[in-house]
Amino acid sequence: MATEMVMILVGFSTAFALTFLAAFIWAVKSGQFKDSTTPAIRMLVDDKE
Amino acid sequence: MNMDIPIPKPTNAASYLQDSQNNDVRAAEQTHLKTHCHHCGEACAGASITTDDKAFCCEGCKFVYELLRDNNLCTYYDISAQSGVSFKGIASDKRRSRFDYLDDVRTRERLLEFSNGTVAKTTFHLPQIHCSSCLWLLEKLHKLNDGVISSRVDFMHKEVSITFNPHQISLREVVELLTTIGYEPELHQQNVSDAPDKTQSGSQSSTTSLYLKIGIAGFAFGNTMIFSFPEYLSGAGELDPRLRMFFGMMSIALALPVLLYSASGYFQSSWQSLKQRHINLDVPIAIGILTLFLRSAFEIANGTTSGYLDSFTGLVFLLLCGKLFQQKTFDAIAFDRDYKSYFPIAVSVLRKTASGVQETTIPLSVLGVGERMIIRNNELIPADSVLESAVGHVDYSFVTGESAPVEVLSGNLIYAGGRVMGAALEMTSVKDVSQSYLTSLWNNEAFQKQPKSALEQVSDTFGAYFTVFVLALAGVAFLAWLPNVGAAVNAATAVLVIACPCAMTLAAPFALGWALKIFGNAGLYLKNTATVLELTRINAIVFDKTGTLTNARTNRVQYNGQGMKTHEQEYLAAALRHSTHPLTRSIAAVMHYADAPLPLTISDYEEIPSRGFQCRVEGHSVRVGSAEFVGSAMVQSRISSFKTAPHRLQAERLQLQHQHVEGAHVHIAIDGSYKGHFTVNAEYRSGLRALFEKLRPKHKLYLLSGDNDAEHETLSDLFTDDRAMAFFQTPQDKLDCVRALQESGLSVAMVGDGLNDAGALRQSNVGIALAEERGTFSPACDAVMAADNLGKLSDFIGFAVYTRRVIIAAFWISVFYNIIGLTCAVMGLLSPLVSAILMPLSNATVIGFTTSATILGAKLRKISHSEN
Repeated sequence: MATEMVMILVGFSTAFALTFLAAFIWAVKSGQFKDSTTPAIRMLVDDKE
Repeated sequence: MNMDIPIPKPTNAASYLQDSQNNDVRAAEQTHLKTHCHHCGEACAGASITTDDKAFCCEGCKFVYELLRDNNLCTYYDISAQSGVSFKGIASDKRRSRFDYLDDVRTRERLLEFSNGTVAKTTFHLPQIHCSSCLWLLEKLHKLNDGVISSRVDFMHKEVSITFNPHQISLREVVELLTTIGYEPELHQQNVSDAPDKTQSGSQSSTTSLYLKIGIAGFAFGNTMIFSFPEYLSGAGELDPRLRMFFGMMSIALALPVLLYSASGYFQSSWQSLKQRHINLDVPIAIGILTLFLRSAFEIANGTTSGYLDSFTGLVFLLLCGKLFQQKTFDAIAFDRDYKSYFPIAVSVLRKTASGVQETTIPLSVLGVGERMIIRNNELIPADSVLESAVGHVDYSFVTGESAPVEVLSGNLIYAGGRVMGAALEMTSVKDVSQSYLTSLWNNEAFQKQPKSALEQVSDTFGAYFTVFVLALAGVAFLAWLPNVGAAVNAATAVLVIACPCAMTLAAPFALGWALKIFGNAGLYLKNTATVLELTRINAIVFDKTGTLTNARTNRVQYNGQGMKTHEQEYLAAALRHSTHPLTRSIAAVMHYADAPLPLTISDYEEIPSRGFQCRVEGHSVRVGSAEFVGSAMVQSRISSFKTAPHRLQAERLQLQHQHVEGAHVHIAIDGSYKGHFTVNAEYRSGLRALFEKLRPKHKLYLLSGDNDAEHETLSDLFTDDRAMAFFQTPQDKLDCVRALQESGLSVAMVGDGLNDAGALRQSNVGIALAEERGTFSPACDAVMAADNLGKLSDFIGFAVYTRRVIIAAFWISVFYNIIGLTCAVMGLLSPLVSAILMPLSNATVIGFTTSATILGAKLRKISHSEN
């Protein structure tokens, strides 16, 4: 019983962890690691709109 | 809201080499209490131009302000005050036809990255980008013109990517829009050349995939470690076999992408090298990780253990981290530029048409021999030409590093790479762009091949020995256990698994990566980590003179000629003070006659532009200027003797030399009799003597000067040996000379600055380009060095040697761990637990040791932070 329990829980936690890996892959693919300077400045520039 | 948003310093390198010229001017002028231009912040001279109670220094600035105001974009001035780009010092070329060449289909296609009829995308380099306001305005381009869909700025690279609708706004209009608001894009031959610059995008995509590989390997590493813990903690046999099998299968599922994707580079690389019957460092790594995976999969399937997959994923993760660390370089500095990065895309030519002679703009790629070109102020001369205008001034600093403009007369040959100063010049091209004096250098084979770096050589040799050793040891272990096949396979695979060439794969990347950073902080920017090792092998150093040993910005004045009487000297000093020419001013600066009894009266002052001036001091005539003007027969005869020289090329070369001699000489005649001339030379950099003393014991020192040998005696002090100095060297001569030294078995470092050193820099083992504060350009090289750091060259080389010692020490550490590991392996004692402890421990020791030893060494040697 305990063994099955562990297996199910491990399965869930791994699936959950995989979503984080997917998020990381998306971040790299969308170019977030290419330029780390500009966004830092961009967010400081106020828009009066 | 009115505040300055502090901009994070991009990196030392970027701010050092790319600081906008405008910043300095502004900083200097803001200290005065004057009216400052609302747009660019420069002091307004005289009657300033005003609108809305705001002062402007010029019409250009006012125009930009009005444009921004009408489009509700005045936030530009709020983000950082007076942020505009000054229009001063920018070519005042307002012709509408200037960007005609952008309508040319071929040029346009080369510049567009993407185009489908309604959407087009292009990227421009805008060196003017310097503050958050620039960023803000450039990303608001769509407000200025509806045709612009969006624009994105890359601050570090000073680039803007613009997406626009070509039906509403043409590429040319985009460029014109940017130019109007003060951001004229840098458009050079490089942008449109046949082989588009793929290296940049190529390295970017490889970095992206490296991030992905590391992410996946790291993810798998963390999770397989969790799956392995139950077995390590419970001990063999206590764990439920079903659970062990489950954890094992999960580990395999996680490790498969690591094997197939993250580690794929090692398999490809070793396969490539094996195909060429050659073993590189990736071969033992590939063998090791493949065996590790297969043995784990086998043992998991068998149910014997839960495998070594945590060691496997951890190893791949660390190896890739080392790779990333090694790949980090200075993005903001370009090391691979050739003349195409500086030459224009188009050139104005005069063509005969039905309606008479007309000026048109043609792409440089179709410029042939015999075209009559018009080159305007500040424009680059694209091909060797003969001057048609009467007289002109050309600045060859780009080619030679010599800063004084050279005077050329009608019929003189002008060399490609010179920059026209002052009035526009007409000239006829006599050579193709790629065949010119300077550019033909790039046809040399030195520019074709990609030499193998010292790092690759060392690591490949090491990899070969290592592979042979490990395979032999595995064979011995196998034979020793032989009657028992199971144990024999066990021992042999254990040897393959545990032997890790981590001295080379981890120690070198980390030690060299740190060295690269430390050098960068100290003002030496290396192209890649391999250059550090290359520096340690140098045993000959070749220096260029002008701009390298000398500082092009400060002058040294020397007098050659008859002695002058005191009153003559006084007359001369008085006359010189009257002139505004930079050369005469620097002479006047060294003549101190403060105790002149009375101010001398000067009359009949007459200045003949670009030739000299004459005047009467207390009634005595004083003539100062070029030899011709003053009337020295000596220089005249020298020119004519060159013209009759049998070799035309040599004559041409000497003519170029002569122009330099002329530029730096100021001749004097008093009361009609020729006295002599002043030589104005650039000052030698400080600390040269000390540097040469330090370098001499271990390095042979040479001088290759494109200049004349006027400095021979001064230089003899430094170089001691006359044979080590060569003058009148063409760019090609310099290249050949470096090659000759290499063929005699020396490993050569070339220190130079101008494009005329480009060939030698490329041919040498380490090419070091010197850059002054705003060194906006540097030829292709392995390293860029801040010019005032030349004196520290020997310290830099010393630190590179130290770094190599650190790597060697790390090698012995890894040998120690390998002995322990291999002993376990041969004796058949390797278990997942032993491997899980030993492998990370040895890797961590190696990384920790190299990192701390390199940083500590830099501190003790006072290499880092010397500037601050």
